[in-house]
Amino acid sequence: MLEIKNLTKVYKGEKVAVDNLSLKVEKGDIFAFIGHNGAGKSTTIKSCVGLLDFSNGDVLIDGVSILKDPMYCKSVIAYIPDNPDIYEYMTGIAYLNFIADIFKVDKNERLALIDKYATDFEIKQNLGDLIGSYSHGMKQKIVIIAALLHKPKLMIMDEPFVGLDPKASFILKNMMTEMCKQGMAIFFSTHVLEVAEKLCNKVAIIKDGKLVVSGNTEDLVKDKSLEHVFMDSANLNINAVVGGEDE
Amino acid sequence: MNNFLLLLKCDLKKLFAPKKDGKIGVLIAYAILAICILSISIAYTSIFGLILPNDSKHIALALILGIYTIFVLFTTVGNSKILFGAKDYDLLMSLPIKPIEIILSKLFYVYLLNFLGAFICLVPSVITYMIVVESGAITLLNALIVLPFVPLLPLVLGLLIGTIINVVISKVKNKTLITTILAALFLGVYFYFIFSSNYQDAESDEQMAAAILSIQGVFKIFFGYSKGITGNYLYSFSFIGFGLVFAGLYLLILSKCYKQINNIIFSKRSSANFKFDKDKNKSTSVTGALLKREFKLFFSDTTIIMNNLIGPIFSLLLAVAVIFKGGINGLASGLEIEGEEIDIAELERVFSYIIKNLLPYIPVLFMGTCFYSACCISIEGKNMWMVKSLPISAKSYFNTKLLTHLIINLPSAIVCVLAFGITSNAVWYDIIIAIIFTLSYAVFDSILGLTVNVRYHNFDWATTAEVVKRGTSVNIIAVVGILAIIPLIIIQILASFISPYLGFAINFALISGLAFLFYKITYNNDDEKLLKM
Repeated sequence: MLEIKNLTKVYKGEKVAVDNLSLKVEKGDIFAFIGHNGAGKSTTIKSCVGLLDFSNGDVLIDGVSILKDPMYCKSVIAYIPDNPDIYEYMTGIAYLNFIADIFKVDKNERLALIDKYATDFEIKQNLGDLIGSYSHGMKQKIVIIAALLHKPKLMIMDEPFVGLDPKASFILKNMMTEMCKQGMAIFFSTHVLEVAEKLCNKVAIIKDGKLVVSGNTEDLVKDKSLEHVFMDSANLNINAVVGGEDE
Repeated sequence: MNNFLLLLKCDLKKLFAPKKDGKIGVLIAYAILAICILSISIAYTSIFGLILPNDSKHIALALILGIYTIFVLFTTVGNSKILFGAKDYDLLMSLPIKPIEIILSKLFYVYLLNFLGAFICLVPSVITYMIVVESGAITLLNALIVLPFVPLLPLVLGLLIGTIINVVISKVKNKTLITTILAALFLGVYFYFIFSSNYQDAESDEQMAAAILSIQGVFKIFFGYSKGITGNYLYSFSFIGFGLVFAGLYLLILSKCYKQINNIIFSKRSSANFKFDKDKNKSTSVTGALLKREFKLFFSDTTIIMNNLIGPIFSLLLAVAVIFKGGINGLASGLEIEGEEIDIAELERVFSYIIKNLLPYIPVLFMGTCFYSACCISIEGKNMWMVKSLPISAKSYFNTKLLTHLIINLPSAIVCVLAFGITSNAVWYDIIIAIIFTLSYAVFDSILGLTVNVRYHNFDWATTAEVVKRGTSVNIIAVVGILAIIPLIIIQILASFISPYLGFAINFALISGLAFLFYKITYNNDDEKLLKM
């Protein structure tokens, strides 16, 4: 569903943000993309959804290159950014309708979906209010609902759990599992390693723009935890750190 | 006081920091804009200075000050977010800084910008005045003494109106409607005074100037300025005193309620009472959805509205005035002043020449004050990721921007042409030609603005004023808009010796050709351009 081939992104001819990165997300995968701050996660994600052009490589979505047919690629994916900067001058319902119009979602279908998701995320009462009056979490909920309206084949999310209340996080996790069972693919970045470990069947760790670990979660974690795998990949010995503190 | 200077330094740094939307281009645009304002000021003072009788040529200065004040007033209303609802409010209030220091730094920042404007606008006018009336250098010295106090009154008044609008719209859901109504109301009241003034009753040139400036009380302040710099120091002191007292009072009131006003503005309005009505929920086409969103964006911000609707509103008001005054000749007879010898027949002949040869150029002048297409991409700001991540082609996106600009600009321009044409008994085909020409200029104007904004865009702004008022693309279009109209009028006047239609044909071909060229430049590799923004 998503294939990143030798992706390289260099900012202003100097900083290599992503260096020859390749990975594959299959149908039904929940794929966690992990890395420290500034590792290149957001740059990779933004390149995948057509927000950033890249210096080298290619991104295939559903077998189609984002460089060759960006319109098709964008029509089958849903993107949730790390910061829900959305149109504050619109009401929640106006925004959802706008997104549904762009994706040409049938009127009755969109109504049913808005009704269902808004009820699940407990935001139905606020749909008539201006987005400018929403809290960060409410904006995040609206972005998530908007992303689900056109039933995308691939969801690409940058830190989707930030700002969500525990119930909304729980609902989103269940939705992600359910949608992947139906053949959708999810690729998301996160710093919450426990969530990634429990939720995802595949994990990739990026460090300084380079992919250092990638594979099935079970195979990578084995008898350890994802936190250990991450710390090892970051060339840090977690035992030494913990031991140092104890001393 | 250290904090005041630190805050001011921060704001000024932001103003002069190298912009993302162009480096050297910004400076060039500012310089050309300054030259244009300067030239207009000189031309204006010269014309009025020559028309008015010798003993009252100082009215020319009062007029230029009046115009400058109105300009500052309008722009400050739109700029009031520097003081209220500012994005750095939370940060600044959480720091150990006294509110009065924050207020002073913000006010002084706006004041400095306006002082710069006053300097560019008024000093050349005073120098021109000195040349026209052959007065000594003392006039310039007097003007320079009064100059620092010139921006005080419009600044405070503008911020006061801006505060009221901000407070009112923060309380209502439909900010769009209320802002537009308030802005239109404000303009309407102003123009009511202008067109209800009785020019015929003016017994002296001072009264005529008072009538032109419409509000007698306000005029007296401008009059004080002009009288003051021509040697009557009592007027100078009154002018300075009035500005200082007004600013001081405002500062005093503001220091008491700055926090409260910001709390009102920042308090989020959330009714949480949405009823899901399936019948009210309508779906629309992609173009319809984009257009709807574009208008919501346009009406979402006072600065955007104030800076782009002034031209169309002026155009409409002029049309209404022409209709009510019984055509352009009615306006001509309205200029009759008791005791002054004005050849009405000659004026009517001039106006009939304008109708025959320059009819479409009347709304075109107002069109030049709407810069929406020149800032329409920049105003997306931090929301630009949405446009880029949605399946929207660059062509549909750009088309929506152009269409919005035309919808804002065109109807009022056509009404203006029709009003002037019909009330002046112009031939029907002259009116049709004028409408076609107006249409072609509107298309050229919108594509030119878009082309420049595609090249010089800036999404990294804190307030819309940074891109709507001071953006590189807007500055460039302001200059080009002024400069473009001059050769067109010259061609028209020269060609009219043969036939006015020849002038229209040449200019139409010129404008259409340029519009096509800019269209090609903008729409070539448009998807790639959008991606790289």
